[in-house]
Amino acid sequence: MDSKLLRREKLLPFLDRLREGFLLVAPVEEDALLFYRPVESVAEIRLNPGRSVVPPKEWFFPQAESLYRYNTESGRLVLEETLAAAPAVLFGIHPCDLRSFAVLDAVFLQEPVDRYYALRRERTVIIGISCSAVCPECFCTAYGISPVEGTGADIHLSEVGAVYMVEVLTRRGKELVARCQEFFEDNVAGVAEAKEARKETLSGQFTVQVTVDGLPARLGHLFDHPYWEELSRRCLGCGICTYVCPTCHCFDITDVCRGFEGKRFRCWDACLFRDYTLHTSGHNPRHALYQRLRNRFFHKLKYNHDRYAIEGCVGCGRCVALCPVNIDIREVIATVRGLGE
Amino acid sequence: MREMAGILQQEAARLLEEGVEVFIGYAAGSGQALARPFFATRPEEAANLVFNPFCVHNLVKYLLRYPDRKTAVVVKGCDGGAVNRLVEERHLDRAKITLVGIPCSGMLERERVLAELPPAAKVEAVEDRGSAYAVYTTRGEYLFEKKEHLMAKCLACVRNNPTGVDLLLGKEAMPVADPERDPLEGVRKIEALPAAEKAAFWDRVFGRCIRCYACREVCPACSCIECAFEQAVPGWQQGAMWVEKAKNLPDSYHYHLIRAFHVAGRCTSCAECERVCPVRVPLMLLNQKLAKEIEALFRGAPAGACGPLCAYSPEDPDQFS
Amino acid sequence: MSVEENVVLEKDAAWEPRIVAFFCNWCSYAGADLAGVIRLKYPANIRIIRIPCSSRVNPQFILRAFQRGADGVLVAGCHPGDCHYVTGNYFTRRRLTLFKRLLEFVGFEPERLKVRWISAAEAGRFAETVKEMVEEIKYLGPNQRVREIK
Repeated sequence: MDSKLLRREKLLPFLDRLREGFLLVAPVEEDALLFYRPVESVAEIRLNPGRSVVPPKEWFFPQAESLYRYNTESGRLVLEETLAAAPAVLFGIHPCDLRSFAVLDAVFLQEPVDRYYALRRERTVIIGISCSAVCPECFCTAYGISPVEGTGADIHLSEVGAVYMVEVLTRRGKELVARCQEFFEDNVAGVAEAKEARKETLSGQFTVQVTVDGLPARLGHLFDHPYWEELSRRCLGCGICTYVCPTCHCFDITDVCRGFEGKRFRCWDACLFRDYTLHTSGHNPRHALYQRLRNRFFHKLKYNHDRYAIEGCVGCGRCVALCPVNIDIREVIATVRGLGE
Repeated sequence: MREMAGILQQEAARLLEEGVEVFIGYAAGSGQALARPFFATRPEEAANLVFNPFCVHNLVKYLLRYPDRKTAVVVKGCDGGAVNRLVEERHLDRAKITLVGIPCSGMLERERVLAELPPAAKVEAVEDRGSAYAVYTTRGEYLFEKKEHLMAKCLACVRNNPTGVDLLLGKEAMPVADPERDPLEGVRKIEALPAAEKAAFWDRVFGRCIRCYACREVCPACSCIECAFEQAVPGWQQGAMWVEKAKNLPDSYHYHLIRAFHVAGRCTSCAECERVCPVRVPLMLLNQKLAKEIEALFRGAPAGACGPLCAYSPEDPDQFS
Repeated sequence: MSVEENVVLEKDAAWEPRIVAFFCNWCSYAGADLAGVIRLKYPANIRIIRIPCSSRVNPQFILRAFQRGADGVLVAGCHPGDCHYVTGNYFTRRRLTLFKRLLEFVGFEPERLKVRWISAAEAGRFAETVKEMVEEIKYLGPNQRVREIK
């Protein structure tokens, strides 16, 4: 693993250069909220980004994605697959979201491979960035994620004084740095140590210590526990937690038809919505809200682990910050560990 | 505030002993300056109840989940109107509900409080000092001037002492509204823009709507058993749906404009829709605009049981002749 | 963040506005019919949908028309007091007066939604209304608000 330095004032010019070959997707601020969006100019980029509202999973798994179009006007059925992805650079991804890509890969890249996701994944270079502060809701360390480690990125930046330490983590990252080598310098002594020291400072900032050991097994005994009904009493049954979660990936597929033409698309779905498991017969195996809420926690904290050997939650804290009625997954984890056998 | 919590806990325990099956109130949340809805079903659980300037939620809609049980709910001045709405529309049986009113001295805007509290400071108590709240934390005392830190809806509030309740706890609260503030300032700003700029504004805010439907789920006026946007139709009939499930700008406009219109005249301005939105769509602008127009157009004219749009007057303004 | 292609239709010489109309069966549709019978000329840009009463118009119909490509929407009904169902158009009047204001608040030009009372005898009024609306919409250009992107 190679490491370089990038002077702070060279970051924007470097990103600007990338725009010549790639679609640049970066953190952008709008009305005090952060979103990852394609930018026309690097001046739009928020350089020291906090946590975005909508996670960057949106780039690989868009909220609405056309799968194919059809046309029958000629009398014959003409199908056009809408499989396309521009080469892109995704800049400014924090370690929790970097881990989320691995969780989504486990789902979408298993056989048969989801070609829409795979193409975007293949065509995107990821530039990670270490956290400079810990939000009150963060708990990534519970999952072995460090706020200064770039696993999952092609290159990872950590701000140290007037420079960024640049860790080149993949072959693709190496190619990118080689292509733009005039922006980079060799790493010097002391920078790596300063970065590690930052890790110590940050670990003191987490407000709640969360332990997830043994959670999937514990949950296995708690399916019928009344806790889920109690928790669901205040749940609104909205889709906020699901939509802002970097690892939630359920989707619905449907068609839109306009006379002779139309398209089939997929879009995000949430297991908390009433119609999530609604059958055409009218029967709904999860007709009660507590069943749907329980499903979400089981999927996040157990099924992902059991099915893919990777934890479903990355401790980003978005659901904690944005749930209107303070359903706090950290509290659920702690309660569950104390319940049952 | 601690005093109020004590009285509330006592009354709640008493009500639960005397036959109330579910007491809906607030308990402490898991973060700084945070409360959460709380459901007590046994008298011992009443000890968890609190009332403080972080109790922003409108709890009334939860009553719909217990239509056949004896319930009690804590209401602030802004929440109570929703009960009458739901009773008039025959979703609730008023006889089964005990309304516990608490005079409110204003709810704090959490974001503004968090901007000033150090992250490690745990809130221990809050004291109402009239023009400010004093928040006592493990890291010291912080003063929050109400004019700068209350929620926007509170600074325009003329109903902070609940009426029509079965139990009123505590003494009357002083007025909270800031007389120098125009509650319709936001609406007027938009009205003054040329059409193209209005369009750009709404394109931007609706463009970031993620269609989580939190606004609908939290709204007490959104009480349809089958929502216009959630008709259960099989996949091949989805073309008949009003809006697609997929997020797109025209459908987001459609959803928000029509939801605001369905709620028009029935909205009680609790502003929960705006509070819960994760991407800060300024939904109250729509509701306030409609309320303003209804007042200007149909003031004094008869309103139906379901609001002004279920009624008419032969003398209504006519611009279509 | 799905990259949506923004289709901005330019107003060119060949463009003709498309106006979707909702006409009540008893008065306004009959008036439009009469215009045809007496061979009054009016622009062909209008597509009329017959409904039992103007109060059948759900504001969602109006939005859907704009979403599907309408440049203007016209709603016509009986004059207040003359509604075949006695009180229907009183509801229309309240509802659409309010809805028009909401549409303008979010950036629709006021001319795009027109509501007019047209009786069965007012063929001339019908033709004038359509001509007027087509001219106004021609001036404004294609509607961009809430237009569906295919």
